[in-house]
Amino acid sequence: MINLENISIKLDNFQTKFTVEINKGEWVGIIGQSGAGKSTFLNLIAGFAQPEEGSLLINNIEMRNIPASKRSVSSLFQDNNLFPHLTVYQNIAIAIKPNLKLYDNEKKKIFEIIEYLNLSSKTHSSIGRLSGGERQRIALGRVMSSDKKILLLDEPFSQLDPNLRIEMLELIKQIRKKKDITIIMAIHTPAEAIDFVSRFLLIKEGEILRDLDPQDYKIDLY
Amino acid sequence: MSKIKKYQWLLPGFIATVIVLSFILLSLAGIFEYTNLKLIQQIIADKYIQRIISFTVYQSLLSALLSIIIALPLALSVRKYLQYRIIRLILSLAWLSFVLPVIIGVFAIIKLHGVSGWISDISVLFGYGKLNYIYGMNGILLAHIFFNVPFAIRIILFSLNSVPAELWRIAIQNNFNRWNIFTQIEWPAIKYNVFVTAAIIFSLCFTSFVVVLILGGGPKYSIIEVALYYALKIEFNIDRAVSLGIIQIFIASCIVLIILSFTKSFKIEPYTKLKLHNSNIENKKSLIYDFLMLIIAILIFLLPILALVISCLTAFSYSTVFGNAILLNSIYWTLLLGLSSGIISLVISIMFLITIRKLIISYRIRWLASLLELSGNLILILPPVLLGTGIFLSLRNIYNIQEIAPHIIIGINTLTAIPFTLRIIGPEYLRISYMYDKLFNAYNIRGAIRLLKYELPLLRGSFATAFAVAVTLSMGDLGVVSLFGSTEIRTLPLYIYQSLGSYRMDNASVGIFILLMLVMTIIFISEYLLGRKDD
Repeated sequence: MINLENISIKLDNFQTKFTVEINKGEWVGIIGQSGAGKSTFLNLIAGFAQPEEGSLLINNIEMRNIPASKRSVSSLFQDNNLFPHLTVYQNIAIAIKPNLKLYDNEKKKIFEIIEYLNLSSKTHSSIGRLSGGERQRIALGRVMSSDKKILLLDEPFSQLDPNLRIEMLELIKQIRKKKDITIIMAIHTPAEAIDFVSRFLLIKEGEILRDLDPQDYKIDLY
Repeated sequence: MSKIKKYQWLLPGFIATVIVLSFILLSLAGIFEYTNLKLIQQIIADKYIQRIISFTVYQSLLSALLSIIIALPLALSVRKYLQYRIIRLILSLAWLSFVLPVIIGVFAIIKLHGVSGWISDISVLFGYGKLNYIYGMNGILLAHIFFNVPFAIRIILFSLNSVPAELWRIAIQNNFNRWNIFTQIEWPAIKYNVFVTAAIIFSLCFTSFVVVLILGGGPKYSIIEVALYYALKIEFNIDRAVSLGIIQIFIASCIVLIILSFTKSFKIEPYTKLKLHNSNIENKKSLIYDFLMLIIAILIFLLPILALVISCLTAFSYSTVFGNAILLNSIYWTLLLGLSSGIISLVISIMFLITIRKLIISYRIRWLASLLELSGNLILILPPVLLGTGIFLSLRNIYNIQEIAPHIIIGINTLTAIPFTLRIIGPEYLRISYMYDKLFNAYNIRGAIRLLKYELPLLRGSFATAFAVAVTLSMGDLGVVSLFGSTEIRTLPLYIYQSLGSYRMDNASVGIFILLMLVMTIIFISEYLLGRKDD
């Protein structure tokens, strides 16, 4: 369980004050206008931003003094998720061992993930020639190969076309089921996520303004 | 008539090329007048020349290697603390050592490492004798590290700037250790520029006239250019000077070709453009390591600068300046020659660029544009001392060299500055032309009005930087002025060099202080008042 209590950090125009509870295994959509504080919300959970006040608990453990590297959190960004000089296989393998020296069972695991993602023909390809969708699938492969239990998605598919976005959400749904992970996803087009998330959190000026059931989602959210 | 008018844009570039080529051809004519097959055979067989060449290459290689080895860990540590003002201040101070006239840096090194320097004084304090390690290979390497490590750090930092913030975060979340970060993020981002930087440092050290002249300590540790200077100025051995000149042209041409082919898109950007994000959560061990790196950086860069400033301040007094006619005369010539060269090099650069712009944007004749640019850069194969030697040999039987010396000095320093001014203004000028060319054509804005009313205001920042670089480069020249200078025509670097040679350290300190003030004033006026830049 993730528990934020008055978590506060100073941004350019306002001070955040996030208070929310997210259950284990839940998939939550974060919505709000640009600059509302969606990415900051994710950065606070990941440990990339240090709060000035408040409390952040993950599984009842206070995270404020726990560095990002020690948190059970992985992230998927809009872009730049892959190391350009590494192959598809290596980009997934770094989550197991950054030095890429894997045991046979670890290698087998990577090959299975690549097959699951339907990228077998590109296992040893350089990532330079891959499409945007393929790149994000590889990044998801890296998430699958790690043991982290919380996945933060920061508008990860906004550069893909609508059909591909739905396809990626379907893939995440399968991964979530398979790995039993909690997902927090900042998203620009909430309508697409209605069938996937358990609820939306509407953020405005650094505060969670409303907690919405996706089925009650209306176009006049803003 | 209308046809001539249609192609009048060719004229500025043509005139600029003629000016540059006439100087270079005049010099080459002087050198080749004394060349024959027998002499070339002698060059190859001459043990002294072989030794000079191997030492020149050896010290350049060693300097480049050491500079990179020192700069790499420093840059990787510094990157993590760029958000702190003090770190950015240290970087800017270190950068001074690369942009200030070389003689100032050499003096700073002497003040710290010299026989009467701080380190030697500390040795005496602890009961050991005076330390005498500054002259020869040690001094040359110390100076080259002092000058070039900040340059290498800057290039490495900007290469790391291209790494997206997301990758650092992925590295943290996947528990990358220090070695993993280096192999998977840092090295892939910097490796190309590290090799290019090493090549540039090699070429800078290859022609490092002032450092080797002052710190080499004699013919044993001499590079080609300094040996050429000794041959011409002290031994008056023209055959040897010419031999060394030919070798210098041959090797420098090879180096320049390699460097130019590598550095097409090589930019030195201001520190203000560095990203200040910091995703690193450091452990205690790496904090101690980074702290050690910072101490090393301070020892290498800040101590010599501190020694220099203290020495200047203690030696400076108004009476030593205004009561010293030779010093006042040196200030006059430094300003006159420096400003003249700076302004003329800017004018010639813009003449080149007007034609280059038209060739690239309107007519798409890239090969001719490249040829024009190459003629502006030709000076790189003829270092100033060599260019001067050739001109001296060509004109010595026609003119009284002493009478035309100021013109020759201005000419050579102008040519030396042109590759830099072209590099600074050129890309920005082309970018602006691409943006506004159609607009200018639509409103029939052309000629001098286009240049003065529209392009120059847009290029203000680049012009200011180019002016500062050209003037400081010329004001800091020692090679050309030591060839053509005399008791009447003496600039501050020559005054300082002569003071150092006759062990009048206080005079040298005052000279250094004034040169430093002049250069800082030029940089301040150019960058902050004319260019309104913040770095």
